Amino acid sequence: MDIKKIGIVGAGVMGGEIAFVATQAGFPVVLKDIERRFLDIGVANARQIYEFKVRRRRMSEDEMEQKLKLISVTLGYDELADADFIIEAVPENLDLKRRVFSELDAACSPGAILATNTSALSVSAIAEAVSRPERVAGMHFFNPVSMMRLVEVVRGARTSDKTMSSVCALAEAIGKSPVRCADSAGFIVNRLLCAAMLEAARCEREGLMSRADIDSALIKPDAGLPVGLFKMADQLGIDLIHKVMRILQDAFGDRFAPPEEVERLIASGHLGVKSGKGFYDYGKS
Amino acid sequence: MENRELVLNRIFAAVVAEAERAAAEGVASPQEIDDAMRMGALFKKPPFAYTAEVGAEAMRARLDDFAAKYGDRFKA
Repeated sequence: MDIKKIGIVGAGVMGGEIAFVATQAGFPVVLKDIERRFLDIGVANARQIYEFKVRRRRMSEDEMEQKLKLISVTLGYDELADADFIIEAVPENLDLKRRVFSELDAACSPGAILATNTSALSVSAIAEAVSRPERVAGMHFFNPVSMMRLVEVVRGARTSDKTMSSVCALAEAIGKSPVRCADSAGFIVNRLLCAAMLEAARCEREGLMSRADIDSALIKPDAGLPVGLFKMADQLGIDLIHKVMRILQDAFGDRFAPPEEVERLIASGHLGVKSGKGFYDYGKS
Repeated sequence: MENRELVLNRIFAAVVAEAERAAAEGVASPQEIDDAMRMGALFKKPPFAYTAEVGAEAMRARLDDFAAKYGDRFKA
């Protein structure tokens, strides 16, 4: 499949990161959102990543401006009519995503592939909103997209082989390493990461070790994590972890029930690094 | 020191058991699961590589032991 133009629906930080990786690889992109300010955030974020590269002398200012010219923005769907490939990155809410997909279905050319960047929702359920479910797949990017190589490419119940190949090819074309997986709760990484976090939380609760000691043991060379699991939960956001655990609990049972400590943090509004406190205290920024 | 080893063993065994279930369900192959954990969670020792290092039989014995002591989540 020859892709000439990529539409990114849902600007913001994630949309901006995806716009960066796509334009860096030379693809023209159209960023679409419902409000000007979200488009501004997306473009500013892409620019910020480019500026970092310029400062590190990995790119000239001219090159940066050329790349940024590949980004156009829109509040409507008309500009997406000639896009071959859409990456939807709106907030994680099934009703919202289904509404966006039905609008995309009406606005986009019948051959266009519609990929959803979801970390937790069912790709098959999102695909029910369109007349071309064979051209829908999941494309789960990892944060920060500009740094993380993995994209989980998710096969929905009706996704065609051709669509899977096209999505994987696009992921590679924008410098990512696709891993195919089934449309199963948490896909691969979130499911296994939650299993690890839950076991770490049980060990702490049983008084075997403190969370700080567990984290420091995990980053020792023999365990080999770049960051401890409690700290990683704070970075990802306690609210996100909680939401993913709930989805996993629904799908696989109570071994994924969020720990009491996570429920307590949520109840007190301690959502991790972004709110200044989670499993650890980050002080006021 | 003893606790440290137990805690690490439990955390990695929990991931191994979950990975084996995911592979058995057809979510992805063992190789794909390891690739995803290396790149997406930055695990230097993703579950199937970890099992290979510990030894398949030793890992099985550890999972059985943990399942008896801590619960079915270690049954793979």
